[in-house]
Amino acid sequence: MLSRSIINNATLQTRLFGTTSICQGIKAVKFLKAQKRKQLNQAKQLTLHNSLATVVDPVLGHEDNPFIARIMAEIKEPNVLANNFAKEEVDKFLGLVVSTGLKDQLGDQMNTVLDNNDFNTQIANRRDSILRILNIKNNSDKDAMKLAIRLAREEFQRFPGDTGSSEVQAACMTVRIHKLAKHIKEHKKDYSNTRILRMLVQQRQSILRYLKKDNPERYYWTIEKLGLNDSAVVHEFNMDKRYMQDFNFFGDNRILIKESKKVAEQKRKESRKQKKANKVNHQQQEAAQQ
Amino acid sequence: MMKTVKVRVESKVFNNKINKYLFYRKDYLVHDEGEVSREGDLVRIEATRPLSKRKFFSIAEILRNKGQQFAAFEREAKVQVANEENVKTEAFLQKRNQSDSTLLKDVLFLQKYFANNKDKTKEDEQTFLQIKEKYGISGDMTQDSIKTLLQLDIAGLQNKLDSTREVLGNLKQQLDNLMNDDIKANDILSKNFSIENPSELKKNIKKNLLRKYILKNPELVF
Repeated sequence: MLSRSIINNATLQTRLFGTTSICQGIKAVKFLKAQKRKQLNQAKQLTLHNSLATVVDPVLGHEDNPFIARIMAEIKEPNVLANNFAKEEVDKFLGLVVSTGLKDQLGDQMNTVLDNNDFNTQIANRRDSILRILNIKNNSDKDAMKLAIRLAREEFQRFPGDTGSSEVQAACMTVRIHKLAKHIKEHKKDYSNTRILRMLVQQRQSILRYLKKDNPERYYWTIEKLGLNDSAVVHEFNMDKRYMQDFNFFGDNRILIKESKKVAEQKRKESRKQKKANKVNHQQQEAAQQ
Repeated sequence: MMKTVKVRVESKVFNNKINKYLFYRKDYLVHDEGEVSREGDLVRIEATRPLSKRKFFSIAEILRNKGQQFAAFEREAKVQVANEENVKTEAFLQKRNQSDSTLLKDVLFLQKYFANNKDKTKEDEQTFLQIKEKYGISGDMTQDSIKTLLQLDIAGLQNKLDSTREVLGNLKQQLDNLMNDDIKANDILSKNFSIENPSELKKNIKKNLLRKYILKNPELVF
């Protein structure tokens, strides 16, 4: 007992010499606890802020948007004809040509000709070639876009023939935006088209903002259908390199903006904090389960 | 912060130095017991005892529930769009699986069938009946009914064009009549557009309104 107390006294004396008092007061403990709680909360808020539920790509909207997927699939269908032609129309046209031609030329001999196999294959070939010429795949990209925009318009129109309502304009712009974005992803240095895309996105935002004021019910339907959300429309947005980097626009995780040392350090700190908070959260959850 | 909302209070204060009104805004944390208010609502707040360090007001009533409405629209839109997309996607897939049009083949068969007067086999008769059923032709079928099958939509378009032309032609005449007949025109304007003094309307506005009325009621003659 005696010897131990002597040693304790010795250590105490050395510690006290020339240093500030040790943080053991009730206030200090309280502060530390509060700080820890605060950090946890901040980390939680950050994860919420960055989670996919709240952040939507303001240019392309949600991934796998069924409307856009369907419209883009419609262009690539094997049996779609350009210029709004239907297959039946081709059949009718050919039928008319064949029937009038037969009557004029042959008259009574019609029956024998119709039985002829060569004649039938010839007509079938003609039909195939017309269908091939009219097929959307063998037409220009412009025609395909026209088809896509027509389909979008028909889905959003307020009444048949409506081409000017805000939702129709927004839908057409969305189709164009998706097309252009795809092009820019393949041609990173096409700056003039990037500028056009930027302007289109801004214009869509402004027209949707107007729609929100004009007809909120229709507005929410439209943005839901286009895969956007309210914050993607209402908040200020510019399709710049920051956006491209954050949303990995080119798909190669390329660094487009070099950050200053200060900012980089700040970000590192935040990520460290988040990691720590995640760890603590995980531990808490495990403890609760046990 | 449970049961707490941020309320922005805007005030208008006249500034004597620059001789105009300035807007000031201040945000308060406000107690919302029922948790019913949504972002965008217009509310009235009342002072209460301090509820926490920064909270000493509570929501007394919701004056305009714009935010709640928007939240409801958003909720409804999600369900509605999901349903619509399901239907549309199904229709798209069905269209993909649709078989090729056989109109040309059928027409060629019909011509052969009509040209052949003597020996018609049983199979021919059967396919003939099938085709009849397919295109919904009731009654007798002759060489002329092939023409109706092959009728291009151009004729229909022509008819449509003619009818609209007719309507527009009549419109001008009727509009002129109405513009000259003040009593009738004023009666229409006061009854249908609820205008108090139709005679004081500008000529172009009056004409536009009357045109709208005539287009809405094409069966009336003036």
